[in-house]
Amino acid sequence: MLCAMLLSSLAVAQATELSVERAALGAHDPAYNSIDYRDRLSGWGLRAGYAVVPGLSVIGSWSMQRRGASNYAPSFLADEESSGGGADTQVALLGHTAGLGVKWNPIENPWFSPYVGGQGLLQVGTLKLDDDLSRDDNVNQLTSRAFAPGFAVVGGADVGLGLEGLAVRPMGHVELGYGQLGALDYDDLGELRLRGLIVRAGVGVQF
Amino acid sequence: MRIPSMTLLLALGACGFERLPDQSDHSVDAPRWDKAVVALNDAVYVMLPQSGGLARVHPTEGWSIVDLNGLTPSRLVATPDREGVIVFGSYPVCTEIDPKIKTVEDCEERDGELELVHEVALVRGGAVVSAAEIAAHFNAVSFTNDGTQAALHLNYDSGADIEVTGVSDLTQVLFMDLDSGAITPVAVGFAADRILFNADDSKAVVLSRGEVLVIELTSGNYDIEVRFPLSLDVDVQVRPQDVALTPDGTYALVTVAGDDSLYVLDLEQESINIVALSSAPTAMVVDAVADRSIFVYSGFAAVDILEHDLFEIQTVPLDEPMSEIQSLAGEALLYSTYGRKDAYLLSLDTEDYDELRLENPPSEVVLSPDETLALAITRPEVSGASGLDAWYDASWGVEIIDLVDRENLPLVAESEPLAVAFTTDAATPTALVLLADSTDLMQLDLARRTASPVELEAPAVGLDRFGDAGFVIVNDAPLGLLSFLDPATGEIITVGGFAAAGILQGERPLPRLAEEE
Repeated sequence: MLCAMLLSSLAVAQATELSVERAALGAHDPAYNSIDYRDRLSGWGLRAGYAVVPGLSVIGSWSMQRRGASNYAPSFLADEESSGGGADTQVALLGHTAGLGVKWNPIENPWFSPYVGGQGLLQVGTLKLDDDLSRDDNVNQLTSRAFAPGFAVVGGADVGLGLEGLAVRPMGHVELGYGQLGALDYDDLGELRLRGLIVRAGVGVQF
Repeated sequence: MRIPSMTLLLALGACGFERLPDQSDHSVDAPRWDKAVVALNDAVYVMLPQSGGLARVHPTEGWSIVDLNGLTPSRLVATPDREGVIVFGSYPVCTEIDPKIKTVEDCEERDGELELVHEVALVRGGAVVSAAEIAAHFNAVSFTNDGTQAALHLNYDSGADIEVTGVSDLTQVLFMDLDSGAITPVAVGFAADRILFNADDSKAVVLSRGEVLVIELTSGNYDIEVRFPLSLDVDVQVRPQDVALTPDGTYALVTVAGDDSLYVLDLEQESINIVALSSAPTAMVVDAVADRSIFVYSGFAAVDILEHDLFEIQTVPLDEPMSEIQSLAGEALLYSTYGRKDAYLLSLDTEDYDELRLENPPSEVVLSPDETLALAITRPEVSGASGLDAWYDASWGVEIIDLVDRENLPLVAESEPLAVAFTTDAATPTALVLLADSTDLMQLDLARRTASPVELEAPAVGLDRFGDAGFVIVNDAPLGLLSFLDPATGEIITVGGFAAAGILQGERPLPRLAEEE
């Protein structure tokens, strides 16, 4: 009986998916302006899914962000000569977001399959600052790392080409929702509170 | 194929500083840090105008942010013992009372108005000892001779805008106990701008516009003992140029710009005696050891020595007019910043002098802490000389003046010397000279009379002594950089990055909400 149930579950778990995706999370915190004037933290990543029962999949994802800006501040020198009027500091955020959650496709269709989902997130953000890019051994090359948990709730759709007969089928997905991360605390440097609209889209295969 | 791609992605995510991403620009309004650092015995304190913080920087402990309870510092003044720093600053409050208002942005969204509350805080050892609200216009500090009290007042000659919040009372001086931080306001008359203390700190003499007051400091009541005008005619405003007290605190000596009269104010008898000087003085110094005052004149080749019993003048002719005086306890070093190359070491008792001839005209002379040496920063001059003399004349320089042996040693600097600092350690007397447009400093071994360069991480823009035997050098680096030099070993410890504090500036919290006030 147990073996029969296991075989049955394997039979319905045939839809495994793997995608490359572009993901963006809202970043309306003014503190983020030092890193990017756009109000979103975006990057590329991977999404993998495994259908545990028909219509319900476990989704894992990882994305990486590389955002940065040239920061300008008035020189503390009265004559302004030493800073030369150029950017004084490069500020960059190198981030990784890992997510684990579920998605539910109430209507399974080889062409268009809408879904809703939820994920727990873990963000790792490495902040890098450098006030002299012309030197490799500059004293003021600063690195600070922070972690923050978060969540995302999304609605979207898997898009296929109706090729049900193929063992490996091309597919795409697009989803919108809301995401929120706890504060990325960089001690005296400040903190980032990233939250807002989450947008993800990708292409991959299902097998 | 997939494995190399993943490796590449991970490598990009963990890269160093070679190729940081740069997709946009961001500008801020204020400098990240202020080069006018304050070096105390425990650490160096740096204002961070952009983030509104105060950084404490130590050569081995690194840097930290001092908790000022939301106060944004605007001015730092070290106490005379270098154990504390007086912090002038302000913090915003919202006029609208609403528990939902937590930030400056909340206040603006709810049609509230922001007001700045001004405060002065005393910081010792990286922590606030005391803080008190003050009016916005206080911008100057005078210290008692023993360094236990400070008087906060308005200096309207500072050139800064006088900030008035509501109705400001310009008649007050605030006396601050530097142990407890307690502040006592004393009404002294309109716009007191100079405060002097007698030798034993029992009295403060306050000069306001056309008026002199004597305040007793021993009882703790700050009673005004004497108040009298500088002029009996209310239409005549006497604006003092320089003011000094005689060593016993009985007389105040007041010079007036463009006038060869010296006002001698008897603070006990409340009378004024006017003494005729040789000319309108350029500088005045009171020497406590000789109990005499000295006056020099930029347009008259003589020095006047005034004794303090009968206030009689003794005029000593010189070869060249002098414009500056450095007091040396019984002696005086006279020099001119008006292009003259003579310098004089004058004995105030015998009224004799030794004449020194500098290689180039001085722009500044700085005494060593033990007053056995002086460093003269000399500037280029136009001359018709040739050869080595012409080269000397065209160069910036530093001259070591030995005040004991009465001799001077000229050194040539590669660029303009901007600042000088001495160690106070007698075992290895050292001076450091900051040079313009140079990444090197000039280190002078004052015992051996030798100079050597000190190579720095970044160009220097300021320096000061740190501790008894070291220096702190302010480097030009956007994220902040201080170099701590031990001149005995040549070791340099750099501490940087403190100006990055608060670089991620989110919504600005109201540090002290209205109901907490």
